[in-house]
Amino acid sequence: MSGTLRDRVAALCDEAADLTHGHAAASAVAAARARLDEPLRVALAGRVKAGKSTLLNALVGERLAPTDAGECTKIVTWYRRGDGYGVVAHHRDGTHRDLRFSREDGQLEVHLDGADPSSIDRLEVRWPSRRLANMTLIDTPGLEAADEVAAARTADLLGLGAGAPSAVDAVVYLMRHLHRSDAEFLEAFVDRSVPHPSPVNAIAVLSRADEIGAGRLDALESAATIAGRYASDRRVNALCASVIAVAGLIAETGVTLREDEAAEIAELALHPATERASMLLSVDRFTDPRVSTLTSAARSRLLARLGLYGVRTCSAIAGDTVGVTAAELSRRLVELSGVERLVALLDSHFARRSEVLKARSALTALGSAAGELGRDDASRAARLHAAVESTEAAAHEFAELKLWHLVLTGTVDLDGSERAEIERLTGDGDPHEKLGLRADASAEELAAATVAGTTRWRDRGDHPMTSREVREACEVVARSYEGVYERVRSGETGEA
Amino acid sequence: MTSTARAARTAGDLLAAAIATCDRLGRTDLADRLRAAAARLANPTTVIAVVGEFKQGKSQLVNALVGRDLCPVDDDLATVAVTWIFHRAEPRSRVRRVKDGEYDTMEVPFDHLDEYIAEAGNPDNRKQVDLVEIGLPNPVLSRGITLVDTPGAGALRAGAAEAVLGFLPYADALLFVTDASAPLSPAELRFLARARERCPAVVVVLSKVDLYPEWRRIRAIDEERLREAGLPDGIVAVSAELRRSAIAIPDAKLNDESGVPDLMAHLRVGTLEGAEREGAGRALAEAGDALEQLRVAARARREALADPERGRVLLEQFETAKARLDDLHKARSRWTTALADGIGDLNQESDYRLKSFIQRAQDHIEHRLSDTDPAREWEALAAEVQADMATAVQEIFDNIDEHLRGLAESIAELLEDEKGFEAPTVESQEETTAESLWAGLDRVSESRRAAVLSSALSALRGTSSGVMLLGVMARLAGLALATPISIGVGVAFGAKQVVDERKRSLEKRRHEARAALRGFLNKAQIELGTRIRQVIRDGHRALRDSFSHRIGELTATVTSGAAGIRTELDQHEADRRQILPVLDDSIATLGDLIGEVRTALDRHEGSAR
Ligand SMILES: Nc1nc2c(ncn2[C@@H]2O[C@H](COP(=O)(O)OP(=O)(O)OP(=O)(O)O)[C@@H](O)[C@H]2O)c(=O)[nH]1
Ligand SMILES: Nc1nc2c(ncn2[C@@H]2O[C@H](COP(=O)(O)OP(=O)(O)OP(=O)(O)O)[C@@H](O)[C@H]2O)c(=O)[nH]1
Ligand SMILES: [Mg+2]
Ligand SMILES: [Mg+2]
Repeated sequence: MSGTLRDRVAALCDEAADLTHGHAAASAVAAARARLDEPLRVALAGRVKAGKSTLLNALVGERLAPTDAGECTKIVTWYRRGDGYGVVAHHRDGTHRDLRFSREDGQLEVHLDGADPSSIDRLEVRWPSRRLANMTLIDTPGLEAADEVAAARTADLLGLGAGAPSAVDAVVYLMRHLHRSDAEFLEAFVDRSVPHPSPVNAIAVLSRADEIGAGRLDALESAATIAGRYASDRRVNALCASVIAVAGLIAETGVTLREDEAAEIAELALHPATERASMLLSVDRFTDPRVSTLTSAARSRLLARLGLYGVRTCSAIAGDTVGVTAAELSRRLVELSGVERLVALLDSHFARRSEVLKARSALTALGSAAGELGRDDASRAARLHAAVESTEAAAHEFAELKLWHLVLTGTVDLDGSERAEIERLTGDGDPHEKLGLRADASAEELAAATVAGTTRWRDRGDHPMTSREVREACEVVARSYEGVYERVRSGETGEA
Repeated sequence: MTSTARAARTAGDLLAAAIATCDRLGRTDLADRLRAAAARLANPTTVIAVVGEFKQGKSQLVNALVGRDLCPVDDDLATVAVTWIFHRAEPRSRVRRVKDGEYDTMEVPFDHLDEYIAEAGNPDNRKQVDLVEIGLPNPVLSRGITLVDTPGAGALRAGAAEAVLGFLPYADALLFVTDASAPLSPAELRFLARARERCPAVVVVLSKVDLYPEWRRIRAIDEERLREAGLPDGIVAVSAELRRSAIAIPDAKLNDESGVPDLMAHLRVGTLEGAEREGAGRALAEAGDALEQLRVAARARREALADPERGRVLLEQFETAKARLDDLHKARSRWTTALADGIGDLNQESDYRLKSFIQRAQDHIEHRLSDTDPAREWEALAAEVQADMATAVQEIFDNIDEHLRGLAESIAELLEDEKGFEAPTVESQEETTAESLWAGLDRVSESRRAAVLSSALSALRGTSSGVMLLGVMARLAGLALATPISIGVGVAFGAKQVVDERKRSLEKRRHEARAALRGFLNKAQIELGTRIRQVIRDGHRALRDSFSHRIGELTATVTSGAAGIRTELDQHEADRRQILPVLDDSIATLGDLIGEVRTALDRHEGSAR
């Protein structure tokens, strides 16, 4: 079989469409086919109040999703790139309709117009945001929410229940600490992601990181250390590709901070340091009407926007910088929050692997469609199963994905430049990108590089001292180079 | 002084009077029992366990209450061992570990305790610490409070939550800590419900309120959830952090803002005074019981003095009673046999439960191994087996507890049957009704059995499984479940040519995984079997001692009654007339004291409700 993975899977979908023609499973097949050409679907999931909606806003760069201290997100909401603005409700009975919405302090307020929320499968928000260009972000009700209907919707979306496979390609899993139920959810998610169960499509975020360090000025460093500890724990490695600490609220406010807010912070900074320290001892002290010239309403707003850590940090920055601007504070907040590292991970783990991740989702969906078909037509179902399996087995990309996971988790021990090489080679991209060559490199140069790569890795694997894991990893890398070689030979050079 | 303190003093005085009376009448056995009760009354211990999910601020709260940084606090996982903190004039801290199935206690200086209590110094409790005790002079604890810090529930490590739950029957009250970052989760509510079954006195503490702007709303939501779950909905909001600053500065106003003084007041009224009231009630009941025994003997003497004919009948009854009690004392009387049989059954049943658990675990492993690759699932599989084990152990120990209690009850019943039959009756002149000796003895308590039973049960409380369970869990956590060599992750790359090799090594991996898990189960079975038998043996001894002791007391009462009757029968007529008013006097004095005790007891029971 040749062509890109996407093409091969698309062809498989067409075959599946023929096989399921006239059967109820056909719609799932059509959906799987359509999904191949959509942006990658990434869900933000986690237990109630993990800070999912806040982090989503930070990623989109706008306060869109409503956030609150009480249980808040009740309906699965997709945020997609759109040319204009719009909200559509998709009902469980398959119908959909446009909904009116307004914005309250930036946050979307969707008017259900009397519709029963439990009849709605999901809301779809279309928004012209650059950040949604290659990823659809999905906000979810908390797993284990007291509202069980809402929690069940999230479980359905992620394919954790008995029903259809996951409707998302990857998940950013938020947790405050790794709770036993977090581990259980992640385990279930990894398990459902056949073929080749592997946690490559899950990134874990230690969320509300400023609070993990109890709001102290060094809170985020402490949270980062804890994330590092989790990341090197084998029990955790088996559940997700990476763990990082992010303070979503700090990031959200960082990207949306206004000048008037910066001015209020500057006013706070006028208090002498000891006075400031005393009034920032607790949230109750800080909002006490008597402690400052800044109105207590303004202080409460700042607290809601930044949390105690954020206010402490910002007023310290403003104390050191006379006439601090919103731009300067924003930059510092975003930097501190850790969100940039998350964006980088989303890019390297998800965006650059979107093709293979989407292919995985499609194969899973087709497998499940075959199961459905099998209830009525065993022979056609068997043909579909066989087709899915052979596509799957022939796809070296899955082996690469697995390899990437083993490299990431340090299970296969390689040095830094080897890791970078593998990351480049196994990510999406044109041959010259995969090989790390200039865009104008000639076909001969590309071919030479692939041959060199193949040889180098086979040699490395043949070394008698090499462990079996590394030997197998080397074989996968060598075959990846061979794959690039084939693409170069078939005339695809990357100068498109 | 609060009203409880006054009532306790009254109880103390009454006890002192009762002790003096017992001594004067030569019943040092009863006096000794009351002296022990008086000592407990004077130095009550109230065990308050601080529990909740991990990282809710439990240890920091303990420190805030004590006013010193004793327990390790960390942003990351911290507490791995249960830590007792109590008042002690000479500071001392000790660590108890399980070593080769035996306890090993050693003194560890304060500043090295973290090496045993904290995850950082003792990851996953590899050092197998099961208890840490810290005694130090402390005004807050001096009223007999023992604060217990516990490992948090909900973290990945297996068994910690079960160990804490197992310990709870030993506690007088629980502080359930939940922070104000989010409303109570279903997992927390489940844990709370389970905890409350074991220790009904629960105070819910909302922690870290200095940090969360919306803590008042969270508290309201939590109260709502508690109500919905049928749990008590009072919540005390605190900030241990503010209390810490308040002590460091020092700043009294900040101290008030921390809410910790409120929590202390709450504990004082709700918990401490409740426990003290209960303690006083128990002491009073014991005093009443001892005094009734004295009165029965005195009345018997008086009967003999007033009417020698009736005296001789009584003497005969007393001697029959003594013979029966002597029978009860014999090594192989009915009740000891019944007790031994009950214990035998319990041993067998526990054994069976353990075996069938091991069997189930083995089947489960077989089943799981048949369709999984241990290379991928090893961690999960190992965790499952360990978690199942923790639950099974918890169930087995719960069952032992329950069974021992049931056994205590049926022995009490059986004893009552034996001695109640043909019990001698003593008629008194002041009271028109004839009462049986035994009814007289039991009048103070609600039911006949209660007096016997309550001492048996409190004897059990000291030995029973709670504390033992901690040791078992620590021990289990320490049984290494090593990863088999062939299960280094990363074999399957999905490439066709390695399929055969994969198959072959898959079999090998399964084989090794099976062997490792089996080995673990075998070790666990031996370890647990020993522990279970030990708990049952201790329970058996406690019950036997407690019932024998009681029979001994009754024997002394009957013996002294009989001796008294004999003396009085030998008196000359003239002496009789002289002695009678003295004896009446002494019976009346006893009666007054008993009356006073009963009133105090009524008052107690009234206020306990
Ligand atoms: N200090 C701090 N607070 C945060 C952070 N992220 C979220 N919060 C706060 O936590 C609360 C919950 O945040 P949300 O984003 O609504 O959480 P969620 O996971 O979407 O909650 P549900 O939709 O109800 O499950 C809000 O009060 C946020 O302001 C953070 O990084 N730091
Ligand atoms: N702001 C604030 N932080 C607190 C307070 N109490 C505890 N913390 C923080 O919460 C975190 C956990 O505190 P611990 O006392 O270790 O919590 P724990 O429940 O004992 O944790 P484990 O023993 O691991 O289960 C630490 O980072 C503390 O600094 C408080 O009152 N206010
Ligand atoms: Mg939300
Ligand atoms: Mg602790």
